[in-house]
Amino acid sequence: MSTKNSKNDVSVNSILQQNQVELAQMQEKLIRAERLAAIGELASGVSHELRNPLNVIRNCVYLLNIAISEKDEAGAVEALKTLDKQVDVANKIVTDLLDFTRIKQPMQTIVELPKLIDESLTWVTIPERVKLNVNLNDPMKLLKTDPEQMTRVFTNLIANAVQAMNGKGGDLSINTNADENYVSIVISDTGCGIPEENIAKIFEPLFTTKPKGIGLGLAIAKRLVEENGGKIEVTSQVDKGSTFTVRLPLEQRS
Amino acid sequence: MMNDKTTILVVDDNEDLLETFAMILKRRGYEVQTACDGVDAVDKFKEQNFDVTLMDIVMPEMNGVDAFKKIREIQPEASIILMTAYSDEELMQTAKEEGVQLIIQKPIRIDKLIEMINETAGNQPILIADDNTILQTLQSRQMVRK
Repeated sequence: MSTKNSKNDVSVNSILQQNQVELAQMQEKLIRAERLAAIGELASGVSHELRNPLNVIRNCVYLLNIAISEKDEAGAVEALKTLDKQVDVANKIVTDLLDFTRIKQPMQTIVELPKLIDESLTWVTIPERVKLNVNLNDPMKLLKTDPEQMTRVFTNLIANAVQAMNGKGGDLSINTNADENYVSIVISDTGCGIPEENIAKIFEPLFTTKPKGIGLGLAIAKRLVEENGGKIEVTSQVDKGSTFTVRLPLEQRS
Repeated sequence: MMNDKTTILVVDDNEDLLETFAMILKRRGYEVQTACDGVDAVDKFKEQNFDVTLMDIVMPEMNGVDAFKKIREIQPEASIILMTAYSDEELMQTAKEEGVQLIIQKPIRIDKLIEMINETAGNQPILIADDNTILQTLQSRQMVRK
């Protein structure tokens, strides 16, 4: 009897083990399928993003050939300038990808907040129809952060705000407020806003509501803010606008 | 010569692409105007007709397919070349249903574009796209140009 029970136990154990193996294989397959789907989505997004600058480059080469054959120096210089700009456009796409996939340790230094905001604003063209309001409370507070990474974050948020008001114009406000330990940088627009169902997804990689773009900008921004010990939050109302708040730790000696 | 008379509207929200296409086409002797999105393109058609329209398919405000439909309401015989760096099967399907019959891959070769403009003026609308799957499907149906 005990031998029979023992045989049954072995059989049950063997079935259980086989089930576990099958389950593990199935999980692995699912993970691989998810990875492949994500890679496919990313590859598709990147290739499409690169094709616009590639097309401009092709056009510039054509124009450059004409300029050279006609000894038109001004025309050649113009074509070369546009070519150079397309290198930046393509490079930004590649940099976004690399920044997202590799963990880069922040190079933290003591930074004055107004300088960060000013530097970020130089990277974005604010259209005439957009009214910019910058209100920096506690401008003397110092941050310990990676200035390059934070400039990137603010540039992204400001550019998004401008795009959200594309065509119609509106108000872009940048306000800062500090408490004992943190400074909040609040970037608000009066643009199209984000539908409620998308709020939870906007910091996810590859999620985008724009007609063009890979969907890495806000995912990178979140990662960079968190790498620098901060937090990023958003509130939004459709057709009223969005507010992004970045909270960063203050340099305690300040 | 058709080049002396052909009027072209170039529509794209990418300023550099818009500008360089316009410069090239002007150099080739066409009369060129530009529009920055579908709404702008439709507005331009309300003012005048164009022999050929070279239009991006994915744009803010109004996409190329919707603009194509609106333009066809204004000028039923309008020859429109749609182009995109994106693949949106639904949009492609709608484009085909609306009368778009040929597809060519982006980034587009200028000589091929000129050839198509000359062939297209007053003829069939063409969809310039870059999606290999769709290309292969349509190539098999002999609807595609590279």
